[in-house]
Amino acid sequence: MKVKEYIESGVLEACVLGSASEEETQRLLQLKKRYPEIQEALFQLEVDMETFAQHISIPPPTGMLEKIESGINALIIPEEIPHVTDRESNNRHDYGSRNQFIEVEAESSQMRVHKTWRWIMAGIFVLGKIFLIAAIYYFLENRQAQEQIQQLKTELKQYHK
Amino acid sequence: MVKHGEALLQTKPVSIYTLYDSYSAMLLGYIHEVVKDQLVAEEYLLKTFNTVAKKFNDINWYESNNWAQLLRLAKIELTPIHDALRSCETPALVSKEHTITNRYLDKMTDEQRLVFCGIYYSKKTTAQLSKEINKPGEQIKTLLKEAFSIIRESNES
Repeated sequence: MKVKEYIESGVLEACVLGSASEEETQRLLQLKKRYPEIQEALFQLEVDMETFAQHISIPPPTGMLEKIESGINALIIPEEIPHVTDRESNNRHDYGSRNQFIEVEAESSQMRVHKTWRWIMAGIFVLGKIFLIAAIYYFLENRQAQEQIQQLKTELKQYHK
Repeated sequence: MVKHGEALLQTKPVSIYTLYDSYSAMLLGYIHEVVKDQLVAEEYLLKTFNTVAKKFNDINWYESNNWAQLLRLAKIELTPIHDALRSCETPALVSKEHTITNRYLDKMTDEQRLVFCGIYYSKKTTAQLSKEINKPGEQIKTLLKEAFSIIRESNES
C-alpha cells in the first residue's frame, strides 16, 4: 500500500466532501485506522474546509438563536433536548423562568458540595484533634493533682498524730 | 501541536449553543451560497439546527469534526434545493460571475472551480461530475485535490 500515492489521489478530498462512492469511503475508514499519515491528512483537510467556510461566513441576524430554541422546544419533549437544560443554558438565558418547578428530590445518592468546604472540614478535623489532646492532657494533670492532694492529706494526718 | 490544541478545545462540552456560537455564521454562509437568498438561507439554518437537535445524541461530537457533521446535516436539509439546481443547472452557475468574491475560488481554474463547487455546493458525486464534464473519475479527484491545495496555500500565504 503506497500511502503517499493514496493521499495524493484526491480520494480523501472526495470522501470528506461526501462525493466519493460508498466503497471508497469504507476503504478510507479502514485505512485511517491503520495509517496515521492518512489520519493526519484527513485532519488537515477538515481544517481547510473550515478555513474555506469561515471565508464565506455570514453572521446570523439577532433573534436567530431564540428562533432555533423555540423550534427545538416545539419539536422535542424537554427530556430529549440535549444540554438545553444544563447550567450553561441557565447562565446564558433566563431559561429557568420557564421552568416553574425546582427539583427537590435528587436521583443520585451522592451530594455535591462547594470546594471551600474541604478547608472547613480540614479545620474542624485539626481543631478536634487539638481539643482531644488538650482533654487528655488536662485529665492526666487533674489525676496527678488529685493524687498529690491525697498524698498531702495523708502526710498531714500523720503529722497531726 | 495542532492536535494538542484540538484536544484542548474538545474538553469544552459540545451543546447546541457551542455549535451555534462556533458554526452558525459558517453554516449560514454556506447555505446562502447554495440558495442565493438571505431569508431562505435563514430558514434552512433553522431547519438544520432542528435536525442537529434531533440527531444530537446519535452523533459522536468528540471523535468527529463538528463542522463536517454540521455540513453533512445541512446538505441533507438542502437536498431538494440541490436536486432543483441540478435539473436546471448551467455551467455559468459556478462561473466567477455568479459567485460572490471569494479569494479561494478566484485562484482556481474553471475546471477546478467547477469540480469544487459542484461537489461542495451542488452535492454532486465524482461519478456524476465525471459523466457531466466527460473526464475520468481520477481526474475529477485530482482537480478536487488541486482545489484544496489552493485553499491551503492561500491561507498560508
